[in-house]
Amino acid sequence: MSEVNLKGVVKRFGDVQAVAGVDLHINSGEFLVVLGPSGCGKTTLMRTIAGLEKPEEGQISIGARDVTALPPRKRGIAMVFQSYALYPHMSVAGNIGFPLKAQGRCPDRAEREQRVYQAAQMVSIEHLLDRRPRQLSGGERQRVAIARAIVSQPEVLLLDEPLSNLDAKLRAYARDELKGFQRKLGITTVFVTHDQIEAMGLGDRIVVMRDGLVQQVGPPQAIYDRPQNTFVATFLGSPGMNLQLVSDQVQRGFRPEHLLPLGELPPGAAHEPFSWRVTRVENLGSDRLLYGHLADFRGEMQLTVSRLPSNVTIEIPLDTVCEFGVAHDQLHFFDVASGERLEEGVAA
Amino acid sequence: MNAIMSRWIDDSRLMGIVFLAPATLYIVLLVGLPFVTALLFSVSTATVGDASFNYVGLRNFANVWQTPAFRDALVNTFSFTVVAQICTIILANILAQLLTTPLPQRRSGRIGMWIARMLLILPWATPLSLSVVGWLWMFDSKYSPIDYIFRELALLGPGTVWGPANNLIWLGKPLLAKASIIFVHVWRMTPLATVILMAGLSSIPTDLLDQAEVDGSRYFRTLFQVKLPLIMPIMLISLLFGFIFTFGDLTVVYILTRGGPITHTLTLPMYSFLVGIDGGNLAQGAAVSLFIFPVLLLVAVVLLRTASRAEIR
Repeated sequence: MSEVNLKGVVKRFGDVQAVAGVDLHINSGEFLVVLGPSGCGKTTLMRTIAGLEKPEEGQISIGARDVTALPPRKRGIAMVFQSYALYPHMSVAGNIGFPLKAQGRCPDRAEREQRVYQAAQMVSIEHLLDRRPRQLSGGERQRVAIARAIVSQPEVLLLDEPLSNLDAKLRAYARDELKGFQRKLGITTVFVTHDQIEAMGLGDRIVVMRDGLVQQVGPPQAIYDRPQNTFVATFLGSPGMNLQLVSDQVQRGFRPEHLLPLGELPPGAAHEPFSWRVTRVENLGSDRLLYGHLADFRGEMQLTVSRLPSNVTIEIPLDTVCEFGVAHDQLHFFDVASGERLEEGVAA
Repeated sequence: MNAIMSRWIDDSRLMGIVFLAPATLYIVLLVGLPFVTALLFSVSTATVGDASFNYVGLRNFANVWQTPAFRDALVNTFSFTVVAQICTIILANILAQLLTTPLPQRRSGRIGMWIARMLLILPWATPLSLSVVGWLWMFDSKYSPIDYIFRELALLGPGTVWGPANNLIWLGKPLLAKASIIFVHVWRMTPLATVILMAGLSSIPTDLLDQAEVDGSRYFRTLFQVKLPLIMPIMLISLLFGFIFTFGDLTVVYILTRGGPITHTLTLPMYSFLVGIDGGNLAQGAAVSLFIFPVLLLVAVVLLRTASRAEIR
């Protein structure tokens, strides 16, 4: 259990900057999720923390140690790859015990077997120890990978999209379990994903990345409620935030679930009225998505989405002007040129 | 006319026979027939001068078995093959490791790697008889360039460690001749084995190697506990290929030593040739060559079974 510090980390591949100067402080025992679209540098950032990539610039420290120049085995880290990377020719026990043997920290065979068993027990796979990886289901493989990662009691656990190979149903369950293990062990954990649901659900804090740069860091709700720029605003949430130009300098944003029929707005709240035509309705069961167009200040139409929870049963006629509104405190303002968030006062 | 043609073409049984016919004919005429002939010869008294068939049972095999030269050939064939395969697989592993090591992403590195890989395959691409003639010159009793280098290094010649002779006479001394032949076999088989192993190594997912590194495994542990077990089926295929090539090879021995000095480098194919073709005793020559058959059959069966299992993985 240790904190991790990154200072000005840069990783280049040829002319491409995969990580373009990242400063990050990860608290001891924290579950930090690195979120971003594919190609944003999140996996490279994690591999740099692991020591699989050497940064061109910057400094990485784990606990009090500067590990920038150290190979992976001296960093006190463990990693779970997206593919789980189980050794196919070894049994489950062989897989879990491999780091102990390789690091030479546990030369006594009986003790090693004991620790392998404990790690397997932690993820409830102690009955599978004699199996080969190919005889396991996706969920079981993932547990073996996690057991192998925790068996050497690493200071930092790195997880590279470990849930993306599971089917959708199993994923929700695995998410819950993963969070459970992490709490139980209290290991500082970095979890890389492109799935915002995983990020929101798992992270103590989220780091949103784009083009090798950190866009915003904070607790999931805080990032969702106060996105720092238009990228974070539109990347988080499904669908993302609606954006509407209100002048040459300023655009206004509001989340689909806040664009509501006037009657559904909180009573007495000051609101901004929107008149729009809904052209299409998607019924998702738990909620309804309404698609239509809103005019910006120049009169150009922009695709806009509203999300109504299932308890809002009001009939929405298609291709008819409807009166909707957004509560004032749910409006966000961003600078058009930089995309950066503007404080409400500035925008008004 | 067209209607008849198209009915023939749609007849999958007929077309199956038509398509299989060339390969079947080829095997029957060029492999099956000589094999059956050899079987018949081996139980007869046929010679080059008199091919009439007199059945003598297994007398030829019994006679051959009692010849000291045959015993030498049998031992040599096995020992050459086994030693050459061991050397080849070790060398090929080292080369394959080197040639699959990722280089810095520089243009010169990529070109260098390309040249190295091309040079590697050359021994395999050269016609065997030509390259063995090359080695015959290298091992020449008087003008051997190897001896020349040793002389220049003051290892050979009067008053040196290996002196006082000016030449080692590679192919004239039993042990050196054996070593020379094994060396040429290794030189010949290593490229193919390396290429096969490289294919195996590059098929290992990089995640697995990264995982090994994160798990704390160093170079040799990763090599022996991760990489080699993973390419074991492919390595076995390469070994068995080499075994078949070396075991049944005539060219190398024929050109370098013809089995000499005396019978020190005699192999089964060489002996079969000497007895059956040079000596004209077709019956005994056939009997000698038939000793090779069960060994190669066994190896081929193991090879095919390994190959089919390697595919499933």
